Amino acid sequence: MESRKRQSDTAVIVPQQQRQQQQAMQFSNTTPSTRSRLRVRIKRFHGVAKWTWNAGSEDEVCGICQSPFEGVAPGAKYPGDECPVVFGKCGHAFHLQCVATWLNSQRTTCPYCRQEWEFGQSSDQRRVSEQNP
Amino acid sequence: MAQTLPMVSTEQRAHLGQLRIQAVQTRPSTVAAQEFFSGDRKSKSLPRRIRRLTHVLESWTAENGSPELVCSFSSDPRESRRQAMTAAVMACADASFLKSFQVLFRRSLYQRQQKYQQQQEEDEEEENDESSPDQEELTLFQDLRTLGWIRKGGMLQQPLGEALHQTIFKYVKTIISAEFEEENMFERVQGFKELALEPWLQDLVGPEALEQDDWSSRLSYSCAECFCLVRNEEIFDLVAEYPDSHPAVMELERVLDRTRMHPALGQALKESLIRRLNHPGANTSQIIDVYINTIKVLRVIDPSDRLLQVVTEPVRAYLRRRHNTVRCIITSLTDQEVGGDLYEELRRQDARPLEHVTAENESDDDEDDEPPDFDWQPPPPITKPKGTFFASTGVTKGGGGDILSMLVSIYGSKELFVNEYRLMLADKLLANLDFNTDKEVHTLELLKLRFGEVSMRNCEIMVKDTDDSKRIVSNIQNTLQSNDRAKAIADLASEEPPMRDPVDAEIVSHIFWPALKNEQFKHHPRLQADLDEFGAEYARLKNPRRLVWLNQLGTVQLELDVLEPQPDGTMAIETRDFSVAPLLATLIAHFEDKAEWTLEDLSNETGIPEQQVQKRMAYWVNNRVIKLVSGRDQVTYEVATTEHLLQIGNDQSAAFASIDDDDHGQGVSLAAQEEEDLEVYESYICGMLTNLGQLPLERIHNMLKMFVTGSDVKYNKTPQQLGMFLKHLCKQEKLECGPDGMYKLVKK
Repeated sequence: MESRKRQSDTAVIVPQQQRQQQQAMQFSNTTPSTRSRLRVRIKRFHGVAKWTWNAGSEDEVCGICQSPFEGVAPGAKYPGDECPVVFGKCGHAFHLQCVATWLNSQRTTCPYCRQEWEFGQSSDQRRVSEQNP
Repeated sequence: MAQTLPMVSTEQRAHLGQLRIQAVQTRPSTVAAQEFFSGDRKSKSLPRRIRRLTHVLESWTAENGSPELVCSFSSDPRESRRQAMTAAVMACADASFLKSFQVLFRRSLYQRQQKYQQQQEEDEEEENDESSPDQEELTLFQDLRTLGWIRKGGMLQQPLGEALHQTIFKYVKTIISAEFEEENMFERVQGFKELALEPWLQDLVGPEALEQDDWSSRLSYSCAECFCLVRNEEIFDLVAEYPDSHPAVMELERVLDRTRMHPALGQALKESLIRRLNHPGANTSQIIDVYINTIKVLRVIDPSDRLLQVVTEPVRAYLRRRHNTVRCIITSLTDQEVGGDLYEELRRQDARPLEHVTAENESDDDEDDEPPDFDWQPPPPITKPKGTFFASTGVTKGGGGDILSMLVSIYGSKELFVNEYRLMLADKLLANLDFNTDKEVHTLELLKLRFGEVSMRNCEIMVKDTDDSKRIVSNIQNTLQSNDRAKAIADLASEEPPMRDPVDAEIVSHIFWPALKNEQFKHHPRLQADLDEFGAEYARLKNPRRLVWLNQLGTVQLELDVLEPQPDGTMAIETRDFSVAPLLATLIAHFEDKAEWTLEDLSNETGIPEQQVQKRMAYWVNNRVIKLVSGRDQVTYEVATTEHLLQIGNDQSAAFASIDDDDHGQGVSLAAQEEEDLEVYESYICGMLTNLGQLPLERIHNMLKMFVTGSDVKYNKTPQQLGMFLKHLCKQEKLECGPDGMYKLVKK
């Protein structure tokens, strides 16, 4: 919402005709100036971004498979949706596949801190499990 | 006969000797020979003098020569006389004597050739009556036969052979040289042989000798030999023009089968390849093209591939040294416009996966592991045996494989190619604004067939990232738009909601991508807000994932309006379209808020050094949207006037700026990637230098090779690469390099 406000007072983007009328109006209101002005319209911003799991610092790896969180756990084919990262209540994060293997082998604790493992929320309190089936 | 004479005294013997000398000197053959070579030979032509000689021979009977002194070479007195005559002539002859016959024959042959060619031309119009052979020539040939000079073993055999060879060679050259697209060239040569050479020879040696001495097959071989020789001279062009030259190659293969001149051909091709390709002036892609053609041509000529190995080794060695070879190969594999042959090659129906290829220079190291092969047999000779007995064993071990594997084996590792493809793919995907990956998916599938699925994993994920990005972007854009609409209704805005700056993104799984440029800077608040909004929506959608923008990469499409108030109260508007890197967009966006900026302020605003800002601003200055304000202490930019903009504005296409290639496109650089690879070794090098003080490059290289052999990291760099890295460390003031080439740690 904030962004919309910003947008409306910086870039006035209206159809060509209207805009010219507006300009004339603006011009008549302001003190006459011979300075030229620049108007920038962004037709498209194609950016490049990388995604992270937001689980600790960049070089942190999954404690079980030792590969980066943004990488893939053994057995998964693609990173991201197919290889989600889950957080325990204790705050430790692992690949879902890795911790599932761990829990399936009759263990119920967090591999790191030996607390009873419970699926929890990520450090910034976002809900995890239902978003990543 | 001297031996049969009764016993004689010494004086008698001396007298007899003198008599004999006299007899030899007065012998008709000697007289005739002397006459033959006498002073007035210039006035008389060689045929005339031969006529005379023959005349002497024919009229030489026992009566006018002392019979007992005619040496008997043979039981046949005629033959004896003939040989005596020949010996006498040869005794008087000088070195150029035989040569003059060669000239004579060649001239005569040339006339026949002319006549033959004329006939060939006239053939189509009318059957021309057989022009009678030159009577004088026939007499000459008759005389030469009588003298016995041109029969097998006769003294004119060599000049005759030479003359024939030269004539055939010249004729073949005029017929087939640079003619690569016509078929049945050799048949034409054969026709010449049958219709011109053989009749001439028949005139010369007579029909019986023609049959007896097997002239026909000798001529055939000579034709084939000349054919090969001519082709050898132009083998490079033949190869370069393949596949247009396919008919010529097929024919050459047939003729080579007869002459077995494969080694000579190989040598000629090898030399011309070295001469024409192995120099800095040749384009890498051209070298590769010719190399591919060489493979194809030699596969036709010698299916066993061994000729190919010998011939192309220097080119392969040279390609290995060229730095852009891999990129060239990958480009032509994947790009239809550049590709040509290789593009087709990848799409072959019978594509097989590349087998384990080892570099030729590495194979020595591995040999220790294998037990010696006692069953080793020398390979059969390159020249293919006649018949099809060996045809089934055509492809021998060591050669073989298709063109792609031949190319990959130049380097010996397919990883190199996969990695190069990954870099290229990254560039392509980053520049791919419409998220359309059909072509990449197709290429990738084909490459997977060749290089194996595992090798192409990273690339597959990269392509999938792009596909996913497309979905995510449209999802986010829809959400944002519907939010806007909802908001507009809530606000009771009468008009349509204001259009937003459309943001989309290539969202990468950076682990699988090559090292991407990531120097951060501060965006213009307006752009940053757009990005934040997109990022926030992504976080909502893909919780708990977050986006980290790589500000250096991407493309922004802009429309810039320069507005200039006119004295009469109206507003002049000039509009330009641009497609630029995000940094350039941020810079220009600042000029919307304020028409004039100093370099220092811009630098502070964006958080990048002034020097960099100045470099980037040059783009806008060059495109005349911004101009430098003169006469200030500081470098100051201001929005240009419409007049300024219009100075080149007449030419719309020039102002229609394209992507600034300086900082766009090459988002991934090989150098950056390599540096990343080498960073692993930094700690090893530092540790080494802490313990040992100072070391030269060579020692560091060897020690890394020895110690860094863990499963994850394996040291496989060249000394050159290491040298670059060490220099890089020196620049970072971690190391220093003495004048003696010793590296040591910088003392803090």
